[in-house]
Amino acid sequence: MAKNGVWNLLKELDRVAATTVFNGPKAAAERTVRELQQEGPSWTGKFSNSWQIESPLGASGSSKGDGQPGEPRPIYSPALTGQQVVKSILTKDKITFTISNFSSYAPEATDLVESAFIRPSGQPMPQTQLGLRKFREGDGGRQQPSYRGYIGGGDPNRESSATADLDWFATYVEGGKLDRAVKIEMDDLFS
Amino acid sequence: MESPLLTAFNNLVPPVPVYFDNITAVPPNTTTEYVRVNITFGLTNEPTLTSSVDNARGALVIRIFTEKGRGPARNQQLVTTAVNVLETINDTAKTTTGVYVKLGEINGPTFSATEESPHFMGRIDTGYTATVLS
Repeated sequence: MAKNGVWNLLKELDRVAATTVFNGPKAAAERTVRELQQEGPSWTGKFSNSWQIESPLGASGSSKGDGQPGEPRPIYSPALTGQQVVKSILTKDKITFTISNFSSYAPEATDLVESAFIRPSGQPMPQTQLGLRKFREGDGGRQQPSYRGYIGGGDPNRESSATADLDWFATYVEGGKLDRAVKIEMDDLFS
Repeated sequence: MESPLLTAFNNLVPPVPVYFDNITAVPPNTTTEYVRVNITFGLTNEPTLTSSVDNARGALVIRIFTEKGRGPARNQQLVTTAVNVLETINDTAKTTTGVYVKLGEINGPTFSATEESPHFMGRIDTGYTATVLS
């Protein structure tokens, strides 16, 4: 094989290795975060901008939201080359990206724990367009404490609302959308 | 999924009330034990995942509320009742008619309690796939 041919082959193998082993799952994680931002609650926007992706390679490939208010902002990290990936993972038997939310009220926002939900003073409505689009009110106030998604059923002279359905996170993870996100990105690698 | 859960908890001595989200409401300010079940819908007939046009996927979340200050054993006992029902559903053989339900891995139980609430909470959740057979 000519020298240029060998060089091109090596470059192609480098691209395929990095893409298959690392960059594909990384892209799937980034897509998953974008979808979680859209599915989840949004009042000030801090929760939806508090997602993070932890790469199996540490800082390389990891990305983190800024935790600040506003519309959801996607998080990205640069794609890695095959050499960067292969060198670091030779001792690993699996590649795992971890998606989490570092907001202090993530358990409440994902309907895992109860809390006393009180509308922020001076904020009768969501502060983001995403939240306004998904805003729904309950019949009366909340029973306190309650799960975030349980609205209504409380004092009829008060108000309650939510910007995401009850158990939205469990529905996303187990109802097929997570699988679809991964499949789309992995299928896209080879198209 | 609703019927087996309702039957199992009604058959306990004493029976434990079960409330299905968006169908029956929990009485306000209750301090006795009860169960809340939420069945949600995720993707339905999603061509990316399946060629079937009669598939529904979603999540099943079961929350167990027991009286606080009496230890977690009672809560765990009720969680076991729920888990047994889910495992029975999964062991049900597929027929040629009706709806076939398959559950995923059961996550949990996780336990929590807040200072303001009179209850100790246990939670399990799982995914489901329901297929119309005819």
